Amino acid sequence: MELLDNLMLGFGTALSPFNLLYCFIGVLLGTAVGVLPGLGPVATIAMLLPITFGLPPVSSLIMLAGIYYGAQYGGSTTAILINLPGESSSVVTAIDGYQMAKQGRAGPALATAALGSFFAGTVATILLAVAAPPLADVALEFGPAEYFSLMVLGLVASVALASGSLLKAFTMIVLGLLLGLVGTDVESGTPRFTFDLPELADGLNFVALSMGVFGLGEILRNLEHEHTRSVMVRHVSGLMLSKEDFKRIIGPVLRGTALGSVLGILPGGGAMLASFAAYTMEKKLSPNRAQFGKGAIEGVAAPESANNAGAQTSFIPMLTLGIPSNPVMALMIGALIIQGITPGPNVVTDEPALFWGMIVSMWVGNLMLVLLNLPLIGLWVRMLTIPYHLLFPAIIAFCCIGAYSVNNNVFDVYMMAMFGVVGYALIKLDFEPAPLLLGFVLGPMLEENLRRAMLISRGNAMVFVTHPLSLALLLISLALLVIVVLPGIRAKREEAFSE
Amino acid sequence: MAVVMEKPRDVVGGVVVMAIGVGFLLFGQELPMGSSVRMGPGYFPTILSVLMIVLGLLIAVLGLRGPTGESGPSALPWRGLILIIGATLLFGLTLRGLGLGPVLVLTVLATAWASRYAKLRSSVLLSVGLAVFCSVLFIRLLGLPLPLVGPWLSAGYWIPAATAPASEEAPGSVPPNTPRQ
Repeated sequence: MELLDNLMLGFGTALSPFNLLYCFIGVLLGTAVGVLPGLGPVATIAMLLPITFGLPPVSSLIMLAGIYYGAQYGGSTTAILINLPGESSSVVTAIDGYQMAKQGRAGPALATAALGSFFAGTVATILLAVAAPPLADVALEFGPAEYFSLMVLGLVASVALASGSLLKAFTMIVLGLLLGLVGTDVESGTPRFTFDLPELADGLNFVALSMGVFGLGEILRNLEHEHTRSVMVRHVSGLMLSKEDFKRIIGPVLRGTALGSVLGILPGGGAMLASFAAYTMEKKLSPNRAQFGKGAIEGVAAPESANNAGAQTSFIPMLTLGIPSNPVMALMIGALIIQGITPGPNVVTDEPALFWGMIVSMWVGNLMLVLLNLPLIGLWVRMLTIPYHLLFPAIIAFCCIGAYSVNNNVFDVYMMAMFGVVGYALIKLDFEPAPLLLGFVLGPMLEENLRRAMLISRGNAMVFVTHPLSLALLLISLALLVIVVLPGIRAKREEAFSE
Repeated sequence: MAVVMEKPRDVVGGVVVMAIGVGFLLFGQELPMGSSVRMGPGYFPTILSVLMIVLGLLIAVLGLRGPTGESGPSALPWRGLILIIGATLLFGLTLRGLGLGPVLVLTVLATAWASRYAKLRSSVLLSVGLAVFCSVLFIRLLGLPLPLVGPWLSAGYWIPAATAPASEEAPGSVPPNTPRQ
């Protein structure tokens, strides 16, 4: 069977000592980053992008992916132990997880998080292996009009499913689109917005932009509310789950995995949305719902499974369609482009070793995480005691070196500084910068498809509506927008995000 | 993340967004628009700029209408801003001249100072430690083409007459084999 052949290829690639090493580095870094508040997978991946130049594409992707789902593991550790979620997707885990820790049940909570995540990771990997190639085949039928509408859907969905003001998120996307257009227009060769600077002829440096906005901007934001963390950590013992615990978490893990897998694929989806939704759903469905908020083990199992499933299935649109469903995927696409690989449906057939190697290594990474994390909990906890004022200068140093190393040009360092200011200004004006990255990556693609569609249709703008698939996608976008704007749903959204 | 928009902040935000839109419009003026069949380089940017202006207007207007939240943005951490952005710029300016090692020490010291919890001893230790670590990691292991200690710190750069052969060299000029920045 073809699937088996492909999986063999994947195993062969993923289990090479080199790639195993990079998988390990990725998940280790990811866990560390997930544990440390103030540093997230987005900033870390942005910082490591320059390093991926010297690596083969498979290895870089394996490592970067490991950082993403590893961070989900790490974030849950701090959420449970000290009520400080290291990652946005662990916020919900803290609710019941910390209560369990206070009741002396930190061990079972951590074990639940780890096992639930592993199960979800396995299922998501299988889903990736089974669903991705057919999806890529479908995508090959896509014309420019369909691509355009799909990207519109992706952008709209990421705005609709994000927290905060819709209007402002939308503005960030448009700004990102505009920034993505800076450089030389591919079709006409005319320089756009380059101010005659040769360094801008290839466009704004993606790494400088992301490190400036997410690295420097975040640090500036954190410095405003600086305070030393006094970490009083409880002693963790007894990681085994009782039989009763085990029975209780089966349902939530299954449901969380299912929901997370679906939400991860949606453009705009990902780990955070998945965990919130799973917690809410579990609370409604569970027979033990009265205990939620007071240390219900289901309240840990469901979101933890969901966030891992969501994190991994969010690779599907990226790998098969070349469309990022969240900022982390946008960075992955950036990494692929740096390697000279154009993401899209062709990746499955043109780079099978890359595709299948990545899929298998995700499962391997999950295994590593389960085996490593439970014994290493003491280490992670001790890491929490690193004061922020020692950490952020290191981050800045890495950012500077990283920005320089992209083109061996100090211009990029200046760009990064400028974007640090821009990013911080945006944060101060209450604009979340994450959608900017999505817009930036999609901008040139959006324009290219728009042009092509118009060219093929000879200037007839109705082409987006006459092609059935394109029409469907646009209608879904419209529906999403309407739904989110309706007052009833709006209130529910705020309620969900205000917890 | 409240949907309630605080008054002056959103007005400022909206105006800034509008200004950005206008800026892109202005800078893209000479770009040919083309027709809808063959969209020129100016077509899409113009659409987007107009969209920005509209969005900015909406945000500002809604900001005026909405209830007053905070009285304005909280105080900016000027020290942190200047130190961190300044240190980054300093990094760029001096990297080729000073080399990675010294530049890192300076940069880390400067940025560490931005925190109110930094102490001199730990910052110095951190900067030296990081300089060593990064030098090993990036120059030795990853092969970054950067000098560890740059030309500015070698006497030959500043006193060319002392090291260059006599006669043709004009006093004060840099000998031809010194790498220029």
